[in-house]
Amino acid sequence: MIDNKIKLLLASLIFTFCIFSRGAFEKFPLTHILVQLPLLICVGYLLVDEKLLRLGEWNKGGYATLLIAIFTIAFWMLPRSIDAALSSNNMEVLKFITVPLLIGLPLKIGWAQAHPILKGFLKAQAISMLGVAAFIYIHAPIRICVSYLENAQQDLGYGFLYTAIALAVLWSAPLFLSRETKNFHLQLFFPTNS
Amino acid sequence: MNAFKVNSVIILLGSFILWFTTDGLQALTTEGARRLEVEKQKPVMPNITLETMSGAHTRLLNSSGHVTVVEFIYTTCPFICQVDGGYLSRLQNEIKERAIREKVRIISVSFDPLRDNLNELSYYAKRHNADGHIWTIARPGVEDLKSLLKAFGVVVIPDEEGGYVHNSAMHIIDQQGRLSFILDSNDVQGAVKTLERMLP
Amino acid sequence: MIKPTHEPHSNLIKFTMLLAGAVLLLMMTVGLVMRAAQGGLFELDAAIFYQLMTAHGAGMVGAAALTGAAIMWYFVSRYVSLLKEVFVVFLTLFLFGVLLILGSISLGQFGAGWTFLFPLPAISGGAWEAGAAAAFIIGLILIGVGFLLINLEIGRKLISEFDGIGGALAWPVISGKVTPDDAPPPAIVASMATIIFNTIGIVVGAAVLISSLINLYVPTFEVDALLAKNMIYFFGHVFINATIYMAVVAVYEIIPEYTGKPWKTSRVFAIAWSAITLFVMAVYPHHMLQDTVMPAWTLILGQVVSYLSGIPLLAVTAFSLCLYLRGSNIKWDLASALLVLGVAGWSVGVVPAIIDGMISVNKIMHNTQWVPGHFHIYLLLGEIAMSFGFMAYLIKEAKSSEFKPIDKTAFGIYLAGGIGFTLMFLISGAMSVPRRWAVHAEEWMLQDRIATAFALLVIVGTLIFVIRYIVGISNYRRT
Ligand code: HEM
Repeated sequence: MIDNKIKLLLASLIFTFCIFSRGAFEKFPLTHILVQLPLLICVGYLLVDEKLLRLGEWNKGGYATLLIAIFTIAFWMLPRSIDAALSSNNMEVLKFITVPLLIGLPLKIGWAQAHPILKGFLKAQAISMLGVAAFIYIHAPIRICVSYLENAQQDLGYGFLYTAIALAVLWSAPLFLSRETKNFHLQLFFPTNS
Repeated sequence: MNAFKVNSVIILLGSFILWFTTDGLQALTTEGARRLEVEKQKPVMPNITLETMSGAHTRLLNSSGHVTVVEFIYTTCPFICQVDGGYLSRLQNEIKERAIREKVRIISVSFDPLRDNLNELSYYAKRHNADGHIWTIARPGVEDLKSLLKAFGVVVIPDEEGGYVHNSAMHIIDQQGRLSFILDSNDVQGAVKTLERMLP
Repeated sequence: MIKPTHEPHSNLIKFTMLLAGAVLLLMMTVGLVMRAAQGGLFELDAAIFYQLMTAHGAGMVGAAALTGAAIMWYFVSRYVSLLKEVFVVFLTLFLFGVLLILGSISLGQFGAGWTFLFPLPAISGGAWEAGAAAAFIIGLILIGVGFLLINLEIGRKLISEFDGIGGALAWPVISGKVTPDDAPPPAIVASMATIIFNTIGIVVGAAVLISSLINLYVPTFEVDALLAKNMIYFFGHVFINATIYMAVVAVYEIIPEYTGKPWKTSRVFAIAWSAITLFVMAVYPHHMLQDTVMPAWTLILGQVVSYLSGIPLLAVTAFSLCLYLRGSNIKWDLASALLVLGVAGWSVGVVPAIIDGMISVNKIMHNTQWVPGHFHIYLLLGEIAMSFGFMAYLIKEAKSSEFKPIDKTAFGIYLAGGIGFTLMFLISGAMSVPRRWAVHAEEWMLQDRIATAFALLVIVGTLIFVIRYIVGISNYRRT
């Protein structure tokens, strides 16, 4: 219970922080896309409690919630949508609502129920798509978002690239650990007397 | 509720929203949307006065039945505007060889009228062989600049080196003064084809 | 020694191999038509030649990958329980992908080659519409997704069953903590290694495929052509290499049944496979030696790794195979003969690659028929031979293994045809005959025609293998 309250508090703190840091983060596409949006996704993540994790039959396998998250991500991946969030207040409000509630929240719920193969597939897909985005943003001879400068756009491209590499390492490194090393680390952090 | 039904509804709804917000997958970017919008709406452009490189005055929309190709530049631009100058020069040559030559004007309009004095404009013209007849370089009055850019939907942001970033494209205005097509600056062949279609 | 514990998914795999056999026959005929056309035996419109070449390349790589995947799945499923549904989904995606690719070529006249080198698919000069290129690319993506799924399924089972990637790659054997007797069997080590680089290859391939797809419809979203070429060859090289690394599992698993000596994961074996995992991914720049804009160090890396990647493979597989065969009274039949041929063809096929990997040679040879010479040896006489060997094994009645005269004849025809056919490519290559030319000069046509005759032999041999297989599986059902 306390756990839930802390999570809620943390979520509201991050959310408030995002609102007040809007100007600073949205000044550059790199911080807009790769800092602000992930923070907002975290907000949604933190809102999920035990009860939500056990949605009904309709979310079997987590497909429904994952689909919601995927479509919302697709929407906010459109350069048009990002431009619109910068030029229209309504879109900005929409962003602050949908990114936590329609990406972070359902992603967490769906992920918990997803089949391991589906998870693996989505991870591979995420790395691939970050690669595509890096590819396009680094090289495009035009401005993809009219609101941002070209070299800022390139920074974002490299940001995508480094994120892809980081995720690849993060997700594959644990696969190399054997049970023994895992136990060793567990012992290190949670020593038992036996 | 059955998971299959829910998933189908989400997929349908999600696809519909994406389809709708991208104009049927045709425009993923704001620039793409602007072009699509222009082709559908064909908005009438403001008939402002421009000062050409020779110091003469001309109207953006002229009454003698010309089609006008407008490109926005600033002459001190180190890169894109120079490359675009090359494309327009090719367009000028293509037009000269065709029957449409009496009916087409090309105007490079500076959106930096304070720095781009007549000397700078002429220098840009000389570098790219703008003949002053089919193709001229011009600047608007400072007071008209904002409404001009707004009408065309061109966004200009100052960059860190004292220059500007801006959409680069060929804007084609038909005989009735309506902005009808926007093409990539390098799409010279596409522009020739469009012009020939507009001037049968 | 870890012993097989599960029943493999026999029927599913038998069906898959039947499908692959049919595709192989069809695509060989396409190859025959191309070779005959190069030999001036009949007139073939150049546009059609390139469509056929695209179909042949994509179809053959697809078929090789399909047989490799089937072999890996079959043998891995004897050690761990795999979800059958995943293979069914894979097969479905594969078939949809093939349909799209065939449609894009036959209906859409797509002919940019199976390597879809950017920006060729987008710049057809009017020969095909963007839609055709898109169908081809989407087809490849579907096939890639299928492979990703089986890799994920096998990968996760191996990782949990054999204690992490390191465990499945037999690292404890390398460090001496575990003896070869308790090590994961060679089939597991080989599968784990393949899955690692193939998954990375597919992720990179998917990125460049999707970028090309976006570029088709939004041309202003340009991609960097050099980077795209690097990514494509990384993917292509890894993917085609993976086919043979999957197929060789059949050798590790079947040959011991003939010799009675178990094939163990020795220390050298484990080191070699871990090394290959890295080398396969570092060797692709040897495709780029003629791209002068590439940084020199990548090219030198490509050359050095070309040498290195030949060594562990030749040393470990071919050498240990010789050891296993020597002194054992192996019973020869179609399966064992083809499997041994496969290893031989694979080893021999590497030699021209190493020669071509030398920068000085490559500057002259790379776009000659030397290259198809190299890969036809290790595919036709290597990977495909192993696959046919596996097929013969699948229909072998449990005890009686004899080398029937018809099998001997088919084997002989296939071998003779294969050697002659690939030799002609090598000879043409040494004479600087360019590859991928629809029309050949008069002086080159002699080898082209001889090769056509040999290709016909290969097809006859293959036809007998496939018919024997069909008869075999229908008999098997009845008993
Ligand atoms: C009877 C058997 C075969 C014949 C007659 C044949 C014929 C050919 C010919 C004529 C070419 C074009 C050579 C050139 O570039 O000038 C070619 C290319 C190729 N073949 Fe084969 N082939 C056969 C078997 C195979 C097999 C078994 C595989 C793989 C499993 C294969 C994979 C390829 C590939 C990947 C290419 C390259 C296509 C490209 O350059 O884009 N072929 N083949």
